Amino acid sequence: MSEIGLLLEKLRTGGCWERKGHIADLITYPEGSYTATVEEWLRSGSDALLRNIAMETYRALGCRAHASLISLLREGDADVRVLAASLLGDIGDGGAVSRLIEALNDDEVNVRVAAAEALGKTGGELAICALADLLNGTPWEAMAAIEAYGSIGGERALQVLNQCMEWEDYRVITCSALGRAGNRETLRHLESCTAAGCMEEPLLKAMVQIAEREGVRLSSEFLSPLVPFLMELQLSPIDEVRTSAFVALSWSEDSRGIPYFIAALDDAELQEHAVQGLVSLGERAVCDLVEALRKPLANRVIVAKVISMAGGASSLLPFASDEDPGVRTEVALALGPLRTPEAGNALCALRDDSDKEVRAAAKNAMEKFREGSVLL
Amino acid sequence: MTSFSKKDFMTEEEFALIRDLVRKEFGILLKGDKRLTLHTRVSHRLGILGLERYRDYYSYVVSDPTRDELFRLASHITNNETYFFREKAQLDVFSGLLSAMKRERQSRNENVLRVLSLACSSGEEPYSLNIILQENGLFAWDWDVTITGMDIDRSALEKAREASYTKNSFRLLNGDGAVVDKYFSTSGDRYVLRRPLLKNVEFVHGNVLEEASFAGLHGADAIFCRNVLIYMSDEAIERMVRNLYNVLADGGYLFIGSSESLIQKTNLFMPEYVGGIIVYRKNVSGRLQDK
Repeated sequence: MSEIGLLLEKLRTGGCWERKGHIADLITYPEGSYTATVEEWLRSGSDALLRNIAMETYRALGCRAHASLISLLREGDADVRVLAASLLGDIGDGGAVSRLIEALNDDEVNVRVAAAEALGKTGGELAICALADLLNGTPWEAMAAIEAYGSIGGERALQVLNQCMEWEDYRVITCSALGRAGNRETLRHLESCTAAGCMEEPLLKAMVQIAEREGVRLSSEFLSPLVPFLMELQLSPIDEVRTSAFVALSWSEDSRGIPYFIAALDDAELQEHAVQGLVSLGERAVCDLVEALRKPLANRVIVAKVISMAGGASSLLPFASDEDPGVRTEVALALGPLRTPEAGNALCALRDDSDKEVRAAAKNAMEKFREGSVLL
Repeated sequence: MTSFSKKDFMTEEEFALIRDLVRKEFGILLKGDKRLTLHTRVSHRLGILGLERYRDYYSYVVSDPTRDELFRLASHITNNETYFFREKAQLDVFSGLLSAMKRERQSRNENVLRVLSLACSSGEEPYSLNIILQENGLFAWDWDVTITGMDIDRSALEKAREASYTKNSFRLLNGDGAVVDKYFSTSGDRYVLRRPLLKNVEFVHGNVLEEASFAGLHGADAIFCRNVLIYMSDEAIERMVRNLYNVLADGGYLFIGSSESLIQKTNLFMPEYVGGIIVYRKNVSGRLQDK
């Protein structure tokens, strides 16, 4: 048996752990010498494993698989045409766009859907017009087209998606697409067409996603009437919904968010927004933060820092003898700019602290205290 | 209301400098704009060192020949907040697996048990593991038991060796003073681990991404590497997982954080559902296949 034959046999019969290595070896040979076999494997509808091996091989081949996959788009078996279209999408090279556009007119709906999804991954301006017909097709076709518009993005795709928002049945999937493709203009459009106090989870998620990507915030005026809704969503079982609502809450500058922000200071994913929410509230958040600092909880040092960042440095005075040296360090650093006799006395005591980092912080803070300049 | 911009605390350029540095050195991934997070975790170092700007701090870090400040920076970014019996469900499973570990060792006529606690910070995890071993009592006679804690932050390791904690380190015990009374003596407001608990716990300075850090630690029966992956890039995870694979004994157990997963990240380890949690076992047949 030839080396290629041996490799194909190993691929067909070997375990999944070895497969990656065999495929890597196989594709070092010219594809023409084995694609006929791989095509046969893709046609073997009764053997899912063999089909998977064929698909992995095609993906590994990348654009070298084009000729074979394009020929399979004309296969009699619709399942094979679906797989060929999907694989052309996975490979993601623009070279097959015109063939995929042709496949949008396939007799079989699943092929049309697969072609639309593939165009979402590979298409560009060319695909935008071609996809429009699918919007009037079956719901599956319309949803695949909307998803594709979201992946393609750009002005023309966004215009279509804004229109799709009017279709109640496709609103959720359109929000998802807009979340991926939208820009600041989209955000303004969505904000203007949302009735005051009315919000849906998918729309909120899309708006937060766009805003974060664009480096802007939704305005507190817009979010203020939504705060009860955002708080309610903190109980959502869906992580993404909870996170979007949390981010929006942190932009709302509403003190009802404080307990949520303090709880999230221990959450690596949400901490940034939690700090932002608390610092935006400034002194309004200090009282609750000080209360939290009195309890044993995770990240007390960060709580102390946020108190200082929120403008509550003087509230840290009672913690100058805290048991945690990390907290005492933050207290020392916060007291430097205060320039009050109480702060000076506390700093003097902290300069003799048992912990060397606290002593160093207090020493530097004291210098700033005397200079009257501002520490971090 | 306080109007603020993140720039008030750290500029984008300063953030990028530090973000790129920790990614390059440790594979730590700071996704998105995490300026406030970074500031809350690191700004005290500027205060302690008497520096005003993050740009100055960056220069200090990269010019420090001992690399201590670099290690400390990474340690603070990855949140060295820890406490006794953190993620207790996993520790209960570990306790339940000790009989199997003992049998496995005895079948090879060995009386050695090795446990690694990676990114151990100030030592709460390795000492918790030691308390579990003591409570379990399986390894009382003629067993050579060592728990090794590893961290990149030398100052955290110093604290670990001191083994003196505040009550915040026991916050999960919810007032269960029995464990504290049994294993700790009090000194003022500090809780000091009793000496017998110290003797089979050692601490080493090391970076989980560097193979050399694991010298002499091979054949571990269990590795705890919890809440480390969440900070790492995929490339760094791949490097670390290879090291763990080489260090763990073939029948050993790997514990990662309950919110972390190795599924679809590697085929060097296989998940196993034990006592309601996922632990990882070496996939011995996958040894050379993970590319």
